[in-house]
Amino acid sequence: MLSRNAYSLYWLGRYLERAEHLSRLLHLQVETLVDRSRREIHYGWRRIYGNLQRRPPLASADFELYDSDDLTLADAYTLADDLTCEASNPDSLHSCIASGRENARQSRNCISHEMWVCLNRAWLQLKDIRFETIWSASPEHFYEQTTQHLCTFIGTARVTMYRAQGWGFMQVGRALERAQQTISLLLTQLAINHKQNNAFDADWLSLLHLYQALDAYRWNYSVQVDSAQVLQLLVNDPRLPRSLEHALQVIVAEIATLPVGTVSSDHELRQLCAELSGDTQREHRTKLERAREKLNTLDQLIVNSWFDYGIEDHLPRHDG
Amino acid sequence: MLQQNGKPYPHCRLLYQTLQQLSAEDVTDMQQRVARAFRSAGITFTLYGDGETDERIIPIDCIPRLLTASVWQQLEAGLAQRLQALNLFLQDIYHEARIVADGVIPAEMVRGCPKYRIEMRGVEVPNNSWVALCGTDIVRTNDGFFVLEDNLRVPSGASYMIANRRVVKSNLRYLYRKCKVQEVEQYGAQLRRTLCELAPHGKSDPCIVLLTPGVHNAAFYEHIFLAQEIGAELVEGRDLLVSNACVYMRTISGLRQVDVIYRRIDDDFLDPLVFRPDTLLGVPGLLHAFKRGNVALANAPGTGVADDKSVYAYVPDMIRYYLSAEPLLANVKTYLCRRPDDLAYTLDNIAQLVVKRVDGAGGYGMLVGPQASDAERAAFITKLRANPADYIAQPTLQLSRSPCFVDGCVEPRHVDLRPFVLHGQQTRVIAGAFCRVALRAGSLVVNSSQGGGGKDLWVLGD
Repeated sequence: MLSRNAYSLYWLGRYLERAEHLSRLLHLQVETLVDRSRREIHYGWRRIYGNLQRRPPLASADFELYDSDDLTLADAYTLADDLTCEASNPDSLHSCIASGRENARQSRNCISHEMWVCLNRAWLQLKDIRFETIWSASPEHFYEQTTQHLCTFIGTARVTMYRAQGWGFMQVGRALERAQQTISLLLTQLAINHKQNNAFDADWLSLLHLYQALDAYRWNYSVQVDSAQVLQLLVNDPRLPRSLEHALQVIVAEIATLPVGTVSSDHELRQLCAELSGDTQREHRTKLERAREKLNTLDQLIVNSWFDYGIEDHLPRHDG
Repeated sequence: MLQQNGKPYPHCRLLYQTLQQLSAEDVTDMQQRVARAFRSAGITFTLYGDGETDERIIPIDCIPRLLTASVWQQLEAGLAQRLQALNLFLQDIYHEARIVADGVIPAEMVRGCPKYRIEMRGVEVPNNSWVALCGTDIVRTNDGFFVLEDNLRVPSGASYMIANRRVVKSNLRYLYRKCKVQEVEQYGAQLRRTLCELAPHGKSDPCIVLLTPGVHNAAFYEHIFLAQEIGAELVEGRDLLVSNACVYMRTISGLRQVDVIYRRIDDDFLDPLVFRPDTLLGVPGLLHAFKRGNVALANAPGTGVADDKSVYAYVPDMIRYYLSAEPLLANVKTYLCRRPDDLAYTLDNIAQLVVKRVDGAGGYGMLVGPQASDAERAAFITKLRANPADYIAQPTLQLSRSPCFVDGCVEPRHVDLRPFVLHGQQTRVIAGAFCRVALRAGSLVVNSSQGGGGKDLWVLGD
């Protein structure tokens, strides 16, 4: 497979996972606007912008994400617009789906026709939509529909895409993005709570909703929300499809199916995979930070191994 | 479809009956289904302007154009003859140039043509297939079929030929079955066979790639489609490199040698070491690898001299010269404005003529005399006087018309057709074409970039 196509599929997986994660976050957030407390609403915005490591629009020069004062001068509409339709924001929902679609277009000969049609249809619905239309109709419905489109794409891929190398790269991209977003979100939540020196059950409960883990939590623990148990589930339980541990296991399993890349990077890459899964560190923050560093290294090794390798060692020898 | 007495031709009778049974609502639903299918599948071409990118579908009309098998056989024979002569011409002018020495074509017409590539002189091409793929634009008038243009560099439209067929067939399935239409689905297999026949050293199972300028090219959809149809890797210049006169592509498992390149990049952008040095689309050293016989290029560089609009006027002479035969397909009468007599005629009759730049494409830069304003004609006369050798003129043809669905009704529109001819060790012509239609009432411009649409062409079975 062409290195460029493998790279496109890797980033297709990453961008669509990023989009789905943000769509779920925003869906959750706009629901809080209906009847939740001002504290909870601001917490939610803080958590999203901390997750993305982005400054909200209209933020002052000395804006501090974890400050206990009002988040920003901007209202919910402006913040949601910034995260949904703002074309100049590379992490907005619109930008992520556009980038995902562009990567699919570049590697269209490597994905199934059904996958392309599914993603293209979703894009055609989204591309010209204006945020005021979303906001005045039903933002909850919009985010729900967007998430459904993205899940439909993943489902379509699962049943139609030939399990060759392209599938592996797309899955690695998805899982790596999911792991990084989960780490970022959880560390943000822990940092906010630490800064504010308090924690509310509602904030941990909302995480369970985000990760579709509420039933799993109640099944494993109880109806009473305990932050340590939430973290245990979201970080360490491989049976939860959206947990960090599950994502790490997918990364390791899919990389094992890929052919040997550039020899020097390949060895280091496989060694890192062996360290990724099954970290027995009990302190969640430390475990998350360690995983973050390893995943950043892994991303670079993937690029060096298969996409952007030096060609000198690969040129055939010629006599004479 | 209709004879002068208003009755359908025998081979169009079934189509006529089908159209009569369709209501305006049926027609509108059908057209909308087709447009949605094309848009969902991304069967688009891209227009660029004002810093924005616009992906558009080529509007497809669902009423097929019908040709009988006997008519098609005549066209097929004419197309094959024409391509054979063009290949012999290219082989000749890049070697002994006998046709010039014998005074059939003026030397300045060939050597002065900007598309004549000195770099290709003396180069041997497998099977003498300088042109392995050709798309010939044909029009029909009351006097019969005429060739409007030979597209010998990067002819496009084959993917739309197949895409149109698939969608029209599914919407008119009963009629399709009754008409016993000849297939076009084997185009991909035939194209692959042709490309394999170009492989260096007769290599069996060669590595074939389709070289595209990339996702921003107007015809990118076609590049993807054809790459899939022929089982080739779709590559850009940045995926390839040349080492020791061999071409390699960068894969996840290292470098893999490439044997045949079906290139959809113009000569100018093919190799920065030889042609335009500022291009990022091409592959440095590609021409050197080609000349060494380590990679085949379809079509070979330098074929543009043969689809220059001035050289076009000499194609019938080429057929007589190389094949000792009369052309089976006629040219449109062409006035070469580089000739004083032809220039004088053109200036005197510009209101009745179509005037084109010899290096023009896409329907741009031309004047349709009968439809132009006095000011437009005057402006063109100025250009003609300044650079007559840059222009040709042709009579305005009364192109045949074909029924089309327009706003729920059936109306006639002008059409042409572009069949595709393949030339490897043998010549292959698919029984079908990309049929273009001028959607605006009265317009003669069928080019998709200027609002033209497409139709399916059905070559009926015997």
